[in-house]
Amino acid sequence: MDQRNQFHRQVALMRQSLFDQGYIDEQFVQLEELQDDTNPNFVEEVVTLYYRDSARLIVSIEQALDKSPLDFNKLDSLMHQFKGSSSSIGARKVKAECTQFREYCKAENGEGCMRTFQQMKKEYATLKKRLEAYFQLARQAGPSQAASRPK
Amino acid sequence: MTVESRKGGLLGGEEGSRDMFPVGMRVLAVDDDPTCLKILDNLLRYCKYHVTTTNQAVMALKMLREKRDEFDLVISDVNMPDMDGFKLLELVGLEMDIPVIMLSAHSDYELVKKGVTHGAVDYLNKPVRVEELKNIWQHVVRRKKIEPKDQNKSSSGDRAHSGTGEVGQGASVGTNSDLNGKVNRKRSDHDEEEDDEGEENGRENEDSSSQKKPRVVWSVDLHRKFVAAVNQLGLEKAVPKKILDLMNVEGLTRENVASHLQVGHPFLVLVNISYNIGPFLFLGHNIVIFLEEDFLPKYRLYLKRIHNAASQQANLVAALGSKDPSYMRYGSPDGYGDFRGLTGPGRLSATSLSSYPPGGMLGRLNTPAGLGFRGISSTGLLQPTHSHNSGGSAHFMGHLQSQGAINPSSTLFQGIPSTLEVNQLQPQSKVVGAVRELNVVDPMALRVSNKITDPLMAASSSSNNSLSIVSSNHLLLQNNRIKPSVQVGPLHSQPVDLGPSSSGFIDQSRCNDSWHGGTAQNSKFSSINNHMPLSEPLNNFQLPPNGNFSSTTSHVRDSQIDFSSPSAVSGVLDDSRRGVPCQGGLISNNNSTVQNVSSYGQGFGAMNSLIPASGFVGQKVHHQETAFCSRSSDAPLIGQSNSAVVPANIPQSKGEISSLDSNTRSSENYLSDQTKTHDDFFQSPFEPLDELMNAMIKREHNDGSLLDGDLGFDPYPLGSCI
Repeated sequence: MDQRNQFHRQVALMRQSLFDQGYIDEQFVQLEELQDDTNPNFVEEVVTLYYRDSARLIVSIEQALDKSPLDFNKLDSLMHQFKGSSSSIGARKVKAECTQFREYCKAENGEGCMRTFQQMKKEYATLKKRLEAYFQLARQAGPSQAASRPK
Repeated sequence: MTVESRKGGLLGGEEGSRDMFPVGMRVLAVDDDPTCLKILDNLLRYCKYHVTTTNQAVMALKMLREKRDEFDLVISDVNMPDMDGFKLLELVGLEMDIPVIMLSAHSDYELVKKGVTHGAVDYLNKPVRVEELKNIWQHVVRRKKIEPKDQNKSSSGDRAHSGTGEVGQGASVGTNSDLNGKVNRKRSDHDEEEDDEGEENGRENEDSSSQKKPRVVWSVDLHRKFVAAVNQLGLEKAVPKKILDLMNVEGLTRENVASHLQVGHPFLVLVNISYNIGPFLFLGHNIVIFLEEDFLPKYRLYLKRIHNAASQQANLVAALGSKDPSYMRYGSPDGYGDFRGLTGPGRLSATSLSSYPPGGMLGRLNTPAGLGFRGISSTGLLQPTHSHNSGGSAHFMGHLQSQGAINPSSTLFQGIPSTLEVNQLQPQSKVVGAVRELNVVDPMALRVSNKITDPLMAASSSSNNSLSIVSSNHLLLQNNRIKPSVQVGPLHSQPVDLGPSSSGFIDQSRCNDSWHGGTAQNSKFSSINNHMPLSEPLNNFQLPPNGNFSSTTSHVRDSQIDFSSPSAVSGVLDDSRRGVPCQGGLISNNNSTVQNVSSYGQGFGAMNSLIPASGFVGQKVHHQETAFCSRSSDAPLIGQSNSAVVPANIPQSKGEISSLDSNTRSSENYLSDQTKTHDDFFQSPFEPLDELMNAMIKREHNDGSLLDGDLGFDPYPLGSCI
């Protein structure tokens, strides 16, 4: 019991810090709302799907960034999609980088694009780690906990 | 939010869950991003919708095409690899007339605007929130409501709901307002009309609150008075208040007049009456305007607003086929106005339209002489109730206006021009050909010029050529992409070949006048045309007993054009020859125009599954004759067009056309018979298509009846038409 409570508390704390540190936003809450008994691992599933699918997008962007001259339209288009999915899971920082990236694309600032892209990748990786840890703990704590959300 | 009302098939009604709308609303979600799609899927399910997902736009289209009736709403991403989201949006709108919501990670103004102009009912920004999705059902309801159904008004702030609908809704509302406002012939009326527009909008949007005034049924007489008043005042000065005064009708309010006025906007008329199938805008039964591709989306958007009747499927796509501005020659000798002003691809530039004496085309529309279209939509044809529809049209018009193309004062087409970029319609020749091929008994058929774009324009601009689209019926039927270069030829009473003399569309003598500028005589036609043209064509459509039309008819229904006014129109038309080609409705020369109008109504009615057309038809039966003729020919077209609704699906259309052929045949039968039997035709305003057909057949036998100008039909319940 205590152990469980302990877990729950930890999970809650971890979750809260994700929010507080701006890694995730209210969209994440939306996902959590969709999670229920019939869909107990929804959030994790979505996030997993996101990371899997976005990986190839990142590769595409990287490839596009390697080209010379840069095709900003294509970059923008790729990033558009990336931004869409990132924002859908509530990846706040990642989304912010995507937005920045888009600005640079519009300004046709290749240097800016690359910098932003690197930054974005960092955030992306960090978030992934954090979420993985979170989900793991949540699983340990029990499904009910995972579904709980902060007020 | 369970709207108990069974929205006329909104939910298909087959399943019990449907009764609990929006629970169980069938949504098709399209997004190539798996993450987003999964989330969307779950969000929608959370809202208790019935969700189908696909990550390919192509697949989505396929599903929609195959199971048209199985979806209530489509939500689609904008950026997709296999097909542009906007393209999908257009196609869906054209073919299925299902509301489409766009989704995108970007919410740039330009993108959103593009979505709206392409017909999206809403534009959501990713990430999508469940609150937004909870309200999307309103789009379905709204669309259904436009149809003349007595649905419960989901006044639950559909309009106001915005969580999601901000963009779309705002846009649509705004557009509606614009349309309504702009549609007004005169900008000066804009303000005046604003209120009405609001009402229109309200009505259109089914806000229960807007249903405050009793709907005025614009009977033939009433419409005649209206038209007369407008004529007397002159288009420029025909403000609702003055019209009301002149009309001196007890119990009629300024608002009634105002909305009728709006409706009567040529374009509205056009729009109202017509329904579009794919790129074809069926104005009336005989008028088919082929909308250019570019225009199409916008037009569709407008059309949808304007006339629900046309149903989800057959939005009147004004097939303004050609991009060739030259098409805007409605008033040209062919009876087309001269829209030289048309600029751009098939666009009817507003300016060009405006070149038409405001009083002329548009004004004329209302007036008998006016463009048939005008009359169609507003005059009598459209019942106030339809104002929604009309409003829709008005909206459309207004919108057109806002597009810069439409001059409020310009004739019907004024509004159209800008938006009418019937770029899509490539096969204009087809349309033309279609028209030609129809051996309408009464060549009321409008001359279907190659460029349909003009037809629309022409229709508006020109005289009563109620959108030369008349031939459009044929045209449409023939080709999806027929560019309605249908020239609305003057509706000669005499059975001129489908071409110019086409039925009623443009009474040469009159039409030209009317189109151009509305000489008084046009007023005759125009009024008639106004009324009828659209209705008639629709009738034709309806005629095809085959179910094909039903779909379209359903559309037509929406466009409950106040066919009732046809009577008024017909009256007007009377002066001219009755012989005016049946072509739908384009307002055949005086008499013919009336007939056309009536036929239009009929056609229209036919189109509308609602069959209100019949009501319409009834209005001015005498016009029917000619109109009928054309109509019958048109009907086939229409039938085809109906099937061809999906312009995008040319193959489909072909198939449909073939199916239509059968319809056509039947309609052809009608056609021949029709000429006179408009009366019958219009008799039953809301008959199902089959009945219409029967009516049409019967009509054939009633040759003379039509001409006498007494429609003999009950006022066409325009509401139904639209």
